[in-house]
Amino acid sequence: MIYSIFMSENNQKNIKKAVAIIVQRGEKLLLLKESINKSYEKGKERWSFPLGKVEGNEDILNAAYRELKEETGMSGIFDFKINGLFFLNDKTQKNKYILGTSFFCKLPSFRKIKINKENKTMWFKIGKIKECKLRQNMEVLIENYEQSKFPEK
Amino acid sequence: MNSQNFQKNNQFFNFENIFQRRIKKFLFYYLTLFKAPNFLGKTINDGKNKFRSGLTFLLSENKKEGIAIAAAAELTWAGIIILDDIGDFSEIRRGSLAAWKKYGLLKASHAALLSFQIAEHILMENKLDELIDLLRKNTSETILAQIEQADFDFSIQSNKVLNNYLRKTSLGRWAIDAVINENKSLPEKEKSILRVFNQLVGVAAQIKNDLDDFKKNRGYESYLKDIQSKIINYPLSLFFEKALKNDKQYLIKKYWGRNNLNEKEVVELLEKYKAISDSEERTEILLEEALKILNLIKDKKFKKIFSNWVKSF
Repeated sequence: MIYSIFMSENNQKNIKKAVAIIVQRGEKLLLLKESINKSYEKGKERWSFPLGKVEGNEDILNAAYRELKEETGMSGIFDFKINGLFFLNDKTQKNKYILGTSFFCKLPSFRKIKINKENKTMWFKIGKIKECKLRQNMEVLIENYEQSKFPEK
Repeated sequence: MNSQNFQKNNQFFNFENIFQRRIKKFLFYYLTLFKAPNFLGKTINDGKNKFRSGLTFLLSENKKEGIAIAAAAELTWAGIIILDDIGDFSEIRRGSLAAWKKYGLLKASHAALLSFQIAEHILMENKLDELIDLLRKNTSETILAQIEQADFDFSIQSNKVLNNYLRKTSLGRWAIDAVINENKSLPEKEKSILRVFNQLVGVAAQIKNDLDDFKKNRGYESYLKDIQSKIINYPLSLFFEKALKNDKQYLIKKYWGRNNLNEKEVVELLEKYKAISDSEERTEILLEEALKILNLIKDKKFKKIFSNWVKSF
């Protein structure tokens, strides 16, 4: 089975990939504010973890670094760990699916972080997040985050 | 006479206490052996009077057998009430949150199935074959009743199974993590890359291991072991996610905990919903992603060791 990966050059399956990044500093998580474009809720705002699609032949780790920089301006080396893997049905293509990976990194509270002011970001206490209006599927990421117990360094 | 004095003066209650201590000790050994979650022990402990199992013990001629039957009864009872709460969507059990509400549907149903499995093991050790048949029949019927009552299917659970694999330290992943962490010459970014690689390969290896359970000629262990042990592995979770109710019921009724296995039929049933081929494809996707990440590291030694490791699958 596995040899097909080594043998085939064009081994990209018809699968889309997406990444989400959960950044924790102290007891808080980083969320982004975004506007809703759907007509019935147009103008309203909701909160989301930084996330985005994996482009072309990019790997998921580089996609996480890129998305975090694009959406928050944060750069540097992060000790990413995968804290969630999801195979979701692709609603736009029958019998195809999306691989969603959520990365987690915990930053020490003293680490200074440069965040673009243009992007509307905010650090939320974990307990307060559930009270916000969240983007679809964010609850699953939070549930997964709560169940993950990474040992402290 | 107040209730305290009543208990003090009543021989049965005194005897019941002795029984309770014995069964607790007996069960503790098996719950530890099977690595049962703590809440299963708590559920058993919460059933305070233990009247039925106490009576079983008192009535049995052979006390060694008696304690085994009583323990199996306690375990079955615990499993049934956990499943009952799921079936009825009861959120409260004895004043506190029901197991499924507190620990999630998957953990609770696993614990319930594990309790049946331990009960079966205890009866098997004591060669109580007639009771094993009775237990299998009753527990299978209970599970079926849950499905009929509350449409208790394992839908949208395959991602939960996947994430359980991600959290589980399996197949020596911890050892590889330790090697990565202890290697002082390796830059932090490379360590981080290797840890992510290790996570992806670990999950893929676990699914590969699940898939082996459906292959008869793999040369070791019995095949379809997971189905018989009522373990929901990844291909099974995909089946329970997609299959029609009738097919789910058929699989459980015919093969759950049974020895009369027909590998071809099981595989065909799972393949009807592409549970095996989808699992294979997903394993490849995870490994493909892992290899891409491995290419990010500069350390040639690690790159060679780990790519050979993946090739050995």
